[in-house]
Amino acid sequence: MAASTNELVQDVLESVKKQFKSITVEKDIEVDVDCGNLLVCDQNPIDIKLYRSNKNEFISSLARDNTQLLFNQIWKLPIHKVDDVVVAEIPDPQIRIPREKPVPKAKKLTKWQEYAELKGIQKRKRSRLVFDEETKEWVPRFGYKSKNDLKKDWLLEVPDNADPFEDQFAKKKGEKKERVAKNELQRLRNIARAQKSKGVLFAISYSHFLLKDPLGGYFSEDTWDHMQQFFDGNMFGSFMVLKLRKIPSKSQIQYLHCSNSNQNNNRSRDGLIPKPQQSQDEVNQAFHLAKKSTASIGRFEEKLPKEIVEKNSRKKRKFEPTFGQLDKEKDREKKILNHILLGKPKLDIAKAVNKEMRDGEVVEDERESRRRQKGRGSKKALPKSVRRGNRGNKSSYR
Amino acid sequence: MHRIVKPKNKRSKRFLDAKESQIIENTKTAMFIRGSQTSDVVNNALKEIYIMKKPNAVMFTKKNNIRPFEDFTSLEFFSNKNDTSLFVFGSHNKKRPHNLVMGHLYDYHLLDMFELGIESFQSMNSFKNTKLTVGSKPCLVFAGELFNSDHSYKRLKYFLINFFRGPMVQNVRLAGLEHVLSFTAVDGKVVLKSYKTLLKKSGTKTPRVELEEIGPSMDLVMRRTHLATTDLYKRSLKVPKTAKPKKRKNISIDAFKTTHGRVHMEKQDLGNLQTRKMKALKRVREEKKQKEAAAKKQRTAAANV
Repeated sequence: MAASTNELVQDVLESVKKQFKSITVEKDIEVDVDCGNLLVCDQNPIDIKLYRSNKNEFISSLARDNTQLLFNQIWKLPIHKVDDVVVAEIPDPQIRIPREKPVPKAKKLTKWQEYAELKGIQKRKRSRLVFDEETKEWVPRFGYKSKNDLKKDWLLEVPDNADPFEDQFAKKKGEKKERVAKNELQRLRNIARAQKSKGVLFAISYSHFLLKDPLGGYFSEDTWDHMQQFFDGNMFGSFMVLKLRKIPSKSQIQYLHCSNSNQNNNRSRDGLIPKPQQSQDEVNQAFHLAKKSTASIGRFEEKLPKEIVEKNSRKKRKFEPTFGQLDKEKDREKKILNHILLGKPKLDIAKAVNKEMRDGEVVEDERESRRRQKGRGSKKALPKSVRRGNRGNKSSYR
Repeated sequence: MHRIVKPKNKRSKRFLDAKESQIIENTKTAMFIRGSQTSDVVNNALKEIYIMKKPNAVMFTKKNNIRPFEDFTSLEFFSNKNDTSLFVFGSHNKKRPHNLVMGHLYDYHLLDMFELGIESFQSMNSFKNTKLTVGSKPCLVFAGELFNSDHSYKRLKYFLINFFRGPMVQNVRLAGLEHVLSFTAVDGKVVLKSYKTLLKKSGTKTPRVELEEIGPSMDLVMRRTHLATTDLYKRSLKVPKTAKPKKRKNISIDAFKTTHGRVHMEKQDLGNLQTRKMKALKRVREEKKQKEAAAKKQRTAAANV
């Protein structure tokens, strides 16, 4: 009886099992599953004969097997319920994919931001609307229908000390334009300061400054001179070119090609060039250079009250101890041995190819000249290597 | 603002902000361009891959006379203007029939570029069944040894993952894993097939997967490639430090779920530890006492003598 019940149970189990299909997949080499990317990479060799016998079927079954393995892994991940939906939490991707753009660099703070940090000033969020006492209405703080909207004033008082024939409306408008231009200049100066380390040449639209009449216009002479020494008086069409002096560094990007050769020569890489007006950076550079040019390389110079001291101006040479560090010595010797025994010669492929091509071109040129001169003249006009027929020439291009 | 030319309205400002490099990047968009001469096959292939990549795709309607392998600058310009880093360029001529040039860019400059020829193409319309919703994240299946052994096929694999993987998400709806793209490297070709999943009951929690072919089916032959140098590729793989998960150091949890922390101390001279001051224990005091006792003894000895 027991045996028959056992058999019964087994039969029932088998029948139940047959209803459901298996989720196990057999593979020779383990399949690489990356749940972060929903990716599965199968390295198993493919039987070409089997593939060719029935292409679609083969690929479908292969894809099904691999997808099954991927799903097996995904179903093992932790599950949450988000708004009645069953969701699995995916881990980070294992395979790294190249980025779209380079990693963003930290932005340099503007002059105000630096000051605010120093003083601990927090940014306050102001409301857009302000209650105007005169009209008893909520008006915007700035802009179109605000309290100080220029369009509003239909009447302006002439102050006592002012010229009676002066146009007060134009004066008010002019003041606003000056404020706007000043703000724009300061914004650009912040950008220039941020870009200084890179040494960028860029152009600013002329109209931004409303510089129709430099001296009699919207800027004082000082600001004009300040800007003037930035661009060396170079007007490039409708753009004003701002050139920034750089502290010698690797990159020097020029966005606009300036035809003025003088500008290209005035690079601080060549040294400090005497000028009527120097920027703060240049003065700083000159000062530090002068300080260093003493017999003791600036070591015993007094520090000026407001001087900016460079941190690592004197590099200290570090010497390793001659004895006692056995493991470091071992590593060093091992490295050298590895280079000799196992290391492949470092071949700069680009350089080698260029050399080949160049030499090939030289040989081609010589061949061409030979062909040209074949009909006429003595062969003595040709270089010896050509006359000899490139016999001993290493770089003959075949 | 760090821009020289200020954007005129909020919409353009938003576009420029999205275009800047970010720590965690946006989903990559692809551009689909047609060459000066295209065939039906190429047109359909472009259209169908475009549908697969929607909404992160831009399809150019006009024909462009571009030769990617000769002069890539115009494609770089397009990529800059449209803020796309992936591209597919389709063309057809006698020498290279049914040609697709696919590639990706880094910092708006070319990274890798692959020229694939379409050998046999079956459009989505030839498979008579219901299709999937646009924009679902597909599962990718790569099969074949070539994808791991050959260098250019390896790069092709990474490129295809980059192209087709869709938006990066933290959670995935289990019922929403409907789309499977399989790439098989066999017989000198890469066979692309697109399937829809059907989840069947199995005895366990994990369902059994059945696949039904829906989308385009293409046999691609690799013709020419332009691969980036290894150092440029490595540079493009760099992950910013802030994006890396922060390590939690010196904290461990044992089997009983108690948290253990580790504190690192410098070496202490136990002789000079600061304890509670007790006058009686002062060493100087003791020494003084001993000295006094010795002195007294001497004096008495001297006196006695």
